[in-house]
Amino acid sequence: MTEIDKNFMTTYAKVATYDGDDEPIQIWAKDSDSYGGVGTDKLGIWGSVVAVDFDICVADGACIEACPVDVYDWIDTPNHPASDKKAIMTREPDCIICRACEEVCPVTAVLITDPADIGSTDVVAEVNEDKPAEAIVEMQTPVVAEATSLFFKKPNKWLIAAKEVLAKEELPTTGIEKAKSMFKDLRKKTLDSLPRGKNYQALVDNEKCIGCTQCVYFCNFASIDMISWDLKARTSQFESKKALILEDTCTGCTLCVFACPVEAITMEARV
Amino acid sequence: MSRTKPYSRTIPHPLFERLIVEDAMNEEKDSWKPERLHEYGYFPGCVDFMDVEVKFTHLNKGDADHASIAAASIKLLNYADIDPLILDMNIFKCSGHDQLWQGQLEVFDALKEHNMRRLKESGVKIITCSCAECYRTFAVDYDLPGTLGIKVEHITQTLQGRGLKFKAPENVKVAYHDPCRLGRMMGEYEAPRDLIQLVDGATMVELENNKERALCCGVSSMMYCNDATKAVRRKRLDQGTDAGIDLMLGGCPKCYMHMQCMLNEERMNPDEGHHHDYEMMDLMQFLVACLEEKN
Repeated sequence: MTEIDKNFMTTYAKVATYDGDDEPIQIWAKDSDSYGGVGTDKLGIWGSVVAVDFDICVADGACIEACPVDVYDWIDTPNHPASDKKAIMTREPDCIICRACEEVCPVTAVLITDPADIGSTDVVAEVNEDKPAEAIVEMQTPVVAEATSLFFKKPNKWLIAAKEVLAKEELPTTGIEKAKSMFKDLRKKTLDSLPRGKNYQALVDNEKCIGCTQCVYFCNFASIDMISWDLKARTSQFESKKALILEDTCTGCTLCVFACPVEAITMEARV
Repeated sequence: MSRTKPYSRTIPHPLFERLIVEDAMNEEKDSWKPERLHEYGYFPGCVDFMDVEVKFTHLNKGDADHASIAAASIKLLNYADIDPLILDMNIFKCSGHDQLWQGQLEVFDALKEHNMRRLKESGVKIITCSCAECYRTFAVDYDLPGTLGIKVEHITQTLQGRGLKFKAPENVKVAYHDPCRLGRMMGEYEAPRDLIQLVDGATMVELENNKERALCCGVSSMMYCNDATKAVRRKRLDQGTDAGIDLMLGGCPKCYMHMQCMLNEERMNPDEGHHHDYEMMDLMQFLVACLEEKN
């Protein structure tokens, strides 16, 4: 078992719950014998929308660092062979499905499921028949692996040295909490006004697109490409490049709509 | 083109700009009083907003961390025996530099009005900024010395001539990249260079274009980032490679942000064949890394 089971919601059983900030966190395990409770070596998968396989989690904190809305906290899990603390999704309802944590996890212990998909019976059937989930992973893995290895091979040792010095004493923060909560509010507002999920996909209006590449940076699934147009195809704007959404890998997460500064991207129902 | 969003055309980081505009338009009427009076006030600027956005857009695949500039500045001010009042973003708002230069005057006026009121309430005599843009905005566009009698300093000027000592953990060849707001606009070229000279073990070289002829990072006031502005930035980075440096130091978080973004982008796409084998850092981060423990 090297990564989280993608079908855990159907193949695993609900064995217990744990108190989160707003809602209780669901704990899943293969059967009741595979869950021993906090303090043992059998922990199972925690969470539903934000699911972390605690038997795989190595507590490197990458998800806690990556999360823009502070979903995770630490929980002490003594006697577990992988690590003695785990990232717990205390504020799971706050998740904005950006999948940043899924991407950074070095051991693939995190799985994010859109709340809209939970409970619908065809999720599993679809995964088995058309393998869309696997297709996404295959497309994505080379890109992510390369980028990650590249950056973690050559970290900026000077910045690390600076951070070490700064970590020695507690310095006042300058407003990160406010920035995060404002960001969260803005994202929520956008999410509420947009249709999303696997039945929708993003669509670019070429007349409006100014080729700024913001959507490319926001997309977690490498499903936006910039294509060059000949000069005749230029609009009144300056750029000759346009965004192109790749239908196969678009998951309908609305992040690109959120990013677009000129409202050139809309969410359309899949035909 | 019809536009329903009240934001101007700010492309490089639309969310970052959107957050600042939202913040500006939230009117706060309550009064505020610091716990005690400080002579110095330290204004960190919008580094935390940058962090939130950059983290979300995957641009920190390297390890860009803008909030550490603010933390480093506070630490260095304490090291120089200055106890500043932290004019943080929970109480203050962005200085509005980008909004002013983009032409969003009503947003700038809202930010200015709020900050002026808060500065009056804070009772500081000198305000020091780690950001060259905030420094220029406070000194020239807010005209704080003329209106409130508050002296505005860049943090390099505050730290200059205070007998600080630094020691680099290893020998390093650095170059200083002059931010346009600090150099050409405010005429401060020597203070940051003097600080670098204080670091034992650091050799400073000048880039081909320096001081008043320094090249720009290309994204002045977050107006636009495209192939042309990237060419400007690449030219600047190439000068660093030519000078054979290990570190390029800037005096403005935006220089750090834009240069680091380009370095990250190059490393993410190695096939394109552009590579610069050094790192960009803010001067404050570098100085903190070279801090000697006080006995």
